[in-house]
Amino acid sequence: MKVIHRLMIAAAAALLLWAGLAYQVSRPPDASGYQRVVLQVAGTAHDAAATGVLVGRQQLHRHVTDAFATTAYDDAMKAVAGAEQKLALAVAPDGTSATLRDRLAPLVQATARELSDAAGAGDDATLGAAVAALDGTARQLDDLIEDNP
Amino acid sequence: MSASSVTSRTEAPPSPAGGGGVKQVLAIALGVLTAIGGFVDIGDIVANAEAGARFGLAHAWVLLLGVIGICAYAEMSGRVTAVSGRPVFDLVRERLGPRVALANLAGSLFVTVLTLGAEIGGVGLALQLATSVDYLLWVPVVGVVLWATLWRAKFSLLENLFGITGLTLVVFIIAFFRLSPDTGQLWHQAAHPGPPAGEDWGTYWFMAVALFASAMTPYEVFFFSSGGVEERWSSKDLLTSRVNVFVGFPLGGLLAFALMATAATVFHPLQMSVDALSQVALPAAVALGKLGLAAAILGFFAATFGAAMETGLSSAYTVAQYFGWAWGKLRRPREAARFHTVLMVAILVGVAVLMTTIDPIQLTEYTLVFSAVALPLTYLPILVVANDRGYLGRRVNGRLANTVGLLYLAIVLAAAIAAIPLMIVTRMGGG
Repeated sequence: MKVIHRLMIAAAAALLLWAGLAYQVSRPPDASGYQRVVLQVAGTAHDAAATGVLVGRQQLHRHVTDAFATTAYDDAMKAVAGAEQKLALAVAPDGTSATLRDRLAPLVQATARELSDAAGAGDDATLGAAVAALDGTARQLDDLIEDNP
Repeated sequence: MSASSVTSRTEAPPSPAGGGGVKQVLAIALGVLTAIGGFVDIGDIVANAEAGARFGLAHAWVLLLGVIGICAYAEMSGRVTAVSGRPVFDLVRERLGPRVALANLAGSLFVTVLTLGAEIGGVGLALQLATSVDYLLWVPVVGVVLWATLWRAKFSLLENLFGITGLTLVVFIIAFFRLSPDTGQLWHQAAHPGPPAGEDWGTYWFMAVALFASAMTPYEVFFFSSGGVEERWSSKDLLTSRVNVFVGFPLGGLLAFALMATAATVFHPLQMSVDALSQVALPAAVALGKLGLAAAILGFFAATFGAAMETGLSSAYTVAQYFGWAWGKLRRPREAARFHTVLMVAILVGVAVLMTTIDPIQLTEYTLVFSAVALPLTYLPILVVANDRGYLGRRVNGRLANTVGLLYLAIVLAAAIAAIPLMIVTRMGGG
């Protein structure tokens, strides 16, 4: 077999592999795929909320610097923003998936809002309230994850 | 011919005059630098904290495996350097030929430059934790400072400064005890390896491969051996080399374990994962307040900046040694112009990768996967050279070193084969 033939076969194989990968990545998710996206988004929001609780509590104990707290909240808010975008881009394939989305979306929005409240809190009372709210949201997100194993 | 290869194959270059005892003690600092900046780098910080948060101590055995492996191969490369007076990569090219060495160079250089980018990003993130100024604004500054430091500063100064500063990561060991961990639970996790509820075997093994790769990063041995030549090791320094390896690397491993254990104590009970450097620092703040946090941030900075120096130098070392150019920090930049050019280009590539706005933590995760793939290309040639009597005379590998070396070769081969499929199947460990 000539070198040019081998190269053509290799190129065709690479093209097929690439096309397969592109199809796999870009096709709309089915019900199980959508549920996986929902759980990933819920997991990210849960982690961000839990991080907010930990950072907020340390702030109340004067255990962290303002610069650190700002960065930690920023990191958490970035993660939630990414999760929100991921959820918005995925199309629910059926009614059950839409119900799941409708349960998750407000919790993700609440996480973003409460993180913002904690980051902008000017006194301990406001920060304490934001931390309590984040704690509640983290628990609800945890329940959602456990309800959809 | 490489600059170092002007020395005889079995005779070492003469050591500079000076107080023998003091010099030996100081030489041990090289191992400490390699342990802190090399063992604990951004890859270890990220991989150990992630593993601890998601899996508790279920990956403790992987860390132990990695420490033993890097000790075995670093001892070999240190011995090769001390006896032959030449760096390992130089000998690999001579012993195995330019083609095999080119494969080794391509694999390790790709991974090392990516790692350099991740380390620079890590320095930027550490500075962001201290100042709240976005890391992307720090990245070009870090690149310039890194280049200027490597251009101007003395090797021994860098070694001592970052070696000692990096030791502030000890704060995670103190924090672990201050957190009053449930030791029974942690022991149970360590003694029963496997995924906890909510995780699967795929993600467990993906994390295991990443952790193993973080412990056995290719640049570590090349930096260690080239650093030995810079320090002018001879056969008399074999003891120093071994103390560096068998004290320095386990010390790095202990710090890495502390990162895993504190994450397992604080985050695992909350069933949360860790994907930001700010989260990794939190256990130190929880246990020790602002002082602990400051020590953790300083430790991150020193470990990542030290590792950025090592990866930058390692990139330039390997290229210069492959092409036979003059190299080394002990030479003036004018005398090793191509070495310093490669160093500068590597830093520029690292900075450019980060300026695409890729998340440094994500970049680190990708680097660990590619590092796992490149491991056999690094470690097989070292094993071959360490068995060559032409270079090592009676100091060739003994039965124990060869048994351990071959065993680890099988493990790195398995990790290399499994890395990419696991990355795809688990969606980068996301499950």
